Amino acid sequence: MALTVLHTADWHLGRRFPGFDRDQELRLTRARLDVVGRILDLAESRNVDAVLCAGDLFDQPTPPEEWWGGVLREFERRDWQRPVVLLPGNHDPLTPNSLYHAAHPFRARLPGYVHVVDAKGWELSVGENAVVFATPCTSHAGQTDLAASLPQREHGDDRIRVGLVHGQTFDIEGHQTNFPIARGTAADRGLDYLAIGDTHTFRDVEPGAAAPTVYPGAPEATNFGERGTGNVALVFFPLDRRRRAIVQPETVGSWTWREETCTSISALRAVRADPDLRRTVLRLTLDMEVPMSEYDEAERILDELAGSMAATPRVGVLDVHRQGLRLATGAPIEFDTALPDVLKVTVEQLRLRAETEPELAGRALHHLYRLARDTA
Amino acid sequence: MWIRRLEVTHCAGIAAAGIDFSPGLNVLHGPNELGKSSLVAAIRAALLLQTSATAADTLRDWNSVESPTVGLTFEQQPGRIWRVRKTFARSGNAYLDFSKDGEVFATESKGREVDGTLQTMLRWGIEPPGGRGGRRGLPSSLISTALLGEQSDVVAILDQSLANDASTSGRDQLTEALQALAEDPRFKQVVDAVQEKVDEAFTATGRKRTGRGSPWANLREQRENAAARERDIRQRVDESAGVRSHVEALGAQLFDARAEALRLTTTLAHRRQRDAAGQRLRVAEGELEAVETALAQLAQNQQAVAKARERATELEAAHATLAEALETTTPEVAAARDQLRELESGADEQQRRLREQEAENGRLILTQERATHERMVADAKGVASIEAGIQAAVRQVETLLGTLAEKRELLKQGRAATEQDRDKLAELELERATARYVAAQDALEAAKADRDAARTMAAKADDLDRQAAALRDEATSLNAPDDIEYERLRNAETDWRLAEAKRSVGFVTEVTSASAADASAEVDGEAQALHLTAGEPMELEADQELKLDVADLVTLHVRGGGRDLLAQARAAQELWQAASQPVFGRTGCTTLDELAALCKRATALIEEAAELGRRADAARQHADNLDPLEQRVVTETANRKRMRDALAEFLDDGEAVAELIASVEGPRSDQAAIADEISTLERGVRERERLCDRMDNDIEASARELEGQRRDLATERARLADEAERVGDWRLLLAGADAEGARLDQEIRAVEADLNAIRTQATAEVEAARQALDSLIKREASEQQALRDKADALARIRTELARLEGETGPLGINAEGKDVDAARAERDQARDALAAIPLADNVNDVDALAGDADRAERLVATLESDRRKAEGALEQMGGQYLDEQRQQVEDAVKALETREHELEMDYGAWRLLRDILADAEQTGAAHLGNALVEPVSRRIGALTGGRYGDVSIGSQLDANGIQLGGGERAFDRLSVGTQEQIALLLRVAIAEALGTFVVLDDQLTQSDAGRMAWIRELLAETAQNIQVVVLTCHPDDYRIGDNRHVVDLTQCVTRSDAPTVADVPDRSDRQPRRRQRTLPESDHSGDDPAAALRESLARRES
Repeated sequence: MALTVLHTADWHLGRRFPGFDRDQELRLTRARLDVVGRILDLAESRNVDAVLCAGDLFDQPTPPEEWWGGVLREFERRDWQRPVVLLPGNHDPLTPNSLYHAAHPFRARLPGYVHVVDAKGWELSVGENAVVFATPCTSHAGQTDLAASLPQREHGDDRIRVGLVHGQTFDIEGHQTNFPIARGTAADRGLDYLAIGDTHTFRDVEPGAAAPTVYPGAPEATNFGERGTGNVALVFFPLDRRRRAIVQPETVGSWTWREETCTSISALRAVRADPDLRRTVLRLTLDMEVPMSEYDEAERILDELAGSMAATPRVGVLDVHRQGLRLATGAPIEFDTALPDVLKVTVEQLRLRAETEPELAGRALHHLYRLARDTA
Repeated sequence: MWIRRLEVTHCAGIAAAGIDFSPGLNVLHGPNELGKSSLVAAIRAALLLQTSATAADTLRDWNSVESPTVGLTFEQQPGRIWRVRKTFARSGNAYLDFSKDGEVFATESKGREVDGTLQTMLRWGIEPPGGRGGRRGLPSSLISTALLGEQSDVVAILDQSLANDASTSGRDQLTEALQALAEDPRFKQVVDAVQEKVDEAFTATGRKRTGRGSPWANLREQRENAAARERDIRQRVDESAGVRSHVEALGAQLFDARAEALRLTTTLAHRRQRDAAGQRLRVAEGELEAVETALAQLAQNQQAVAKARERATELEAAHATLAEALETTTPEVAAARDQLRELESGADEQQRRLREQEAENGRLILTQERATHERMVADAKGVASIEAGIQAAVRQVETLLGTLAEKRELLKQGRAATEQDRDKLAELELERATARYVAAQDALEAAKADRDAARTMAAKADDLDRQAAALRDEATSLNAPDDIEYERLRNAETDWRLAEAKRSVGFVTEVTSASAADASAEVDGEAQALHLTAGEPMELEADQELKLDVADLVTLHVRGGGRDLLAQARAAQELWQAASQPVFGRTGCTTLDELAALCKRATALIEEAAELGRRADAARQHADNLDPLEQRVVTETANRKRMRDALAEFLDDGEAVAELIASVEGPRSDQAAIADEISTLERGVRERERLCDRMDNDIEASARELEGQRRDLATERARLADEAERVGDWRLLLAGADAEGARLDQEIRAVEADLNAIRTQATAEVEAARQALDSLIKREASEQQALRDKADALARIRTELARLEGETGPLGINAEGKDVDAARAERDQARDALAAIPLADNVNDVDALAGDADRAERLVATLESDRRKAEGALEQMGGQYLDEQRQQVEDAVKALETREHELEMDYGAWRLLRDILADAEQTGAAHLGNALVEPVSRRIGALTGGRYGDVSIGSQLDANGIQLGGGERAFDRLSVGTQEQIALLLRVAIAEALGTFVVLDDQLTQSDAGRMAWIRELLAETAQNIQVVVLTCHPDDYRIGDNRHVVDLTQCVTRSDAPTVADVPDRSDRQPRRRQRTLPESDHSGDDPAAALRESLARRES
């Protein structure tokens, strides 16, 4: 191989997950920093010639120090010669206040092998026979095709030419395209590979083209519904430039985002039995009407999945939607026969109430069920 | 609360009295008329009556002019002693004093305040003075009736109800007291747990907690932050969206403007080309039109001249024909006029008029005859109608007679069925009593079996306990160390072994002897015998220590490791020995492994003992119910006796219960089914009796109706005779009426036909002549008009022909030399040239179009500039980035809302549970009677030997009745003595619940010796908890042990001579008891008793 490059993008360091509780949010935000170390380790183990980071490495242009400090530590603990190129994306654009600005301590403390794309038509030679061209985002939004600003191949230039920009290749009617990238740009600009970032899914945008245009996707997913996340792209350029560069996704992410809807207690039991939930962000929706014994079991399974002060959670991050868990109040509720009369009256009143307020009264019945059992 | 002292002066026959009480049983005795009831009245007045109340007049002593005074000292609770002093008069006075020791009193309130303070303190359900709804007379309430019942109405408590109290204070106090009695510990545990959860989230006032520990606190803060961020981002998104929309709008406008500019420019060019081509076309078309017009005018003139000549010829021929016809018609008209005049003046006409008059007269006579005939027929029909009415009435009477007989038969059947059902009911009652007895017998057997099982389990538990104790003793005797001690030993041994192991450095010693010699060696503690050969080296290998002794020559001692390690090893060994020797000494073990085995055995023994203990506990749990089971056996025995007594009511003389049971064929055990059957049968009987009564009434009404109809029938028959006499033979008249009528009608029609024929004959001849004349006159006028029209037309056509012939010459000159084909070719060429240029729509003003095109170009330039600016602004604002941010924060808000909803639901459920528990508790407590049923019923059962079942006490403590013989019986259907006893038990139960005194004023006058003895024991037992004050004239009835306080009232009371009003019973406000249970009315409400009775009988049959 003439050249091997690791292409990554969309780390979104510093992204918050306020929809989860504090501990779970911390787990997810820390995961984003952990994956940076794994990416750099992979680059080292595969002995790549360069690491290209195609934008949105931070979730905002001025993230708190804990985030850029963490990245600095990862860079500082490596004594590398291979260049690492950081490209500002639309989330972390190159602005006078951003961390990519020369006056920012992050930029100032970056090791020499880490380069920041800080100008239109930026250029970096990699070895003797390859060159990277890049143009940064300078705002959160824009209609400019940044790839169009990359220089075209001049006659007689036989180097491996790699383009690096951040933007969107799709053009859907009614959808706002941010920093659009036109189809055929790689061929038009005389590039051997166009490394782009923005979309969180790994995708070879033009599989039939002579020069690949690739989104590596986010190394850790940021939301439910994202598919093909958790990868970086390893790009192998043949010695003979007439052959297409080989692009291979490599998994670096450790978290899985998963949505499950349980319509029966057996489905919920199956979720509990899954051994691979410790590194899973699970959105669990319950939609079932069950008798009290199963209602109680469902509550216990939810407790088990969520964990407690005394028990380790079975699920890494759990988001439960349990409004659909309904008590089948028509079925008899098996309280013990020695229940005091006043509690029997309470049970009957709650069952009546359940006809108009099923969720509230169902829960109250369950509370009573547990208390009655505990005090029996 | 108990009464300490009562002082009375000038009160209801008592001149003066002073009595001290004790906390337990107080027996105040004295002869009749001494004033015992007056003393109770005085207590009542002291606590309840205002000094100026009219009711206080009953206290007045008519032998004295002094106002009555009462002083009552009572102890509310230890250290809180009150004294009430009242003087009852129109301007009386009252004082309430307080003391802690009963010696020194301080006045707390006086006047009207005294009663207010007292009622607030007592909480007996009596409204303080001045309150609303106060009653006249002595205030009373359920509690006052219970504690201070009057001698004159000892059973008054059975008529009382909390619902009649003026204030709710009595109810509240009883609720608290009875609830405390009845509260279930498990319920309390549940309530406490629920309240604890509710308190986590809500304050006492129901608001959400806001403190740090509140479950809402973090969530609320997060939600507020997220909401603020959402608002901020949403605003920025809105602004961004506005800019984006602006960019898009500008783009759209630019596109439109460019298109419009291009369209306008093109349109302007086309318009100018079309204008020139159009001008050319118009010129060619003008020339063509001029040629065509000249040629056409000439041809048209020539055709018009030819047509005018032809028309003139035709008109001249028609005029001549018409003139000939007119000459024929005029003589015909004159002849017709002459014929008409001759017909109207002849003799035939006069003759015809005479015949017409005769025919008219004949018709009038026949018409009169017809009218007379119709009147006679109408009278005959009237008589016939009366006769038909009489026949219908006769049929109706016959029908009524039949119905009446049928109803009487039905009534008879109904009564018979009722009698049969009554017999069946008696059988069912016997069956039910039998079933109850059998069930009671079974329940007793089951209770005994349970009790015996519990006794067995108790014995088993004791046996298991003994076995467990033996095992524990055995474990103790092993003297095994506990886990900690054993672990300590094991650690000491490990330390020692480790220290020894550190010394194991390993070395080889080579020994070479100059001469052969025997030697002895000890390698790591193991002795060896050696023989050294001269000059031959020998290697000795050791781990720790080597001792070599060459006899009489040398002793070599080599130790591995340094001094420190050796010291550590020795110290560790000493520690091990110090620790292990006492344990080994007491256990007899020599090694740690033996000790471990010993520990294991001790542990096994203890575990086995624990298991036995658990089994003993389990057995004891079963045996724990022994006491209730014993009680259940007693209860079931009493129940069986009651059932047997109830069954005994069915016994015939000399018949035994067993014989009676045996006589019941196939006794059923399903009491509910029997009860249902009885209930159904009773309902049927009631319904049928009611229907029979209605049927009886109905039969009577039908008989009356029949009689009336017979009277009406006689009247109608008399009227028929009168009418028949007046009309004559009406049947004959009616029989020939139709034929006579037809004959008269036929004659009338014949006369009218003659008359019409006469009139028709005259009119036809004259009319025909007149019509012929009119026709001829019309034809003559028509022919004269047609002749004049033709003459006019002929004159006009001749004038037109002359004009056309005059124009023909100039038109021929004008058309000469014109070429229409050449002009048409010129016009077509110009038209093709115009069609080749595109058409511009609605363009009228070319200058305006040119202006529009110019403005459109300028607009395009402006819009391009604006869009560039807007795109720049959008880049600064964020666009899609902000959309992502907004989506994130919206997700966060949604998630937080979900979590908040979850919390709301969870804690809301706890709160709902708390509220419903409180309601249920309140509802349970609201039925205060339930709390008293058990203690009162238990005592009644014990008092009456199980004859009576549970007493029925309502939610407001209103006593309703008592179970007897399987049904509820009203109190007033019991004997007076039993009523008094039940009332006493109820009063005592209320006093016990409140922990206060009860005053019994000659309560039990109707009780036999046996029950009196039982009640004495009860009062003695009760008096250990509350103060019981008995006023009696039979002190011997209350000789109970030595703990009673007996007061001889003759020694304490000074009596005035006159009888008192208070001793006269006042029954004015007594409500009559209405305890008769009435059976519910049937809901059958049909109007036809016969149908209902028939239906009832049919149901019975089915």
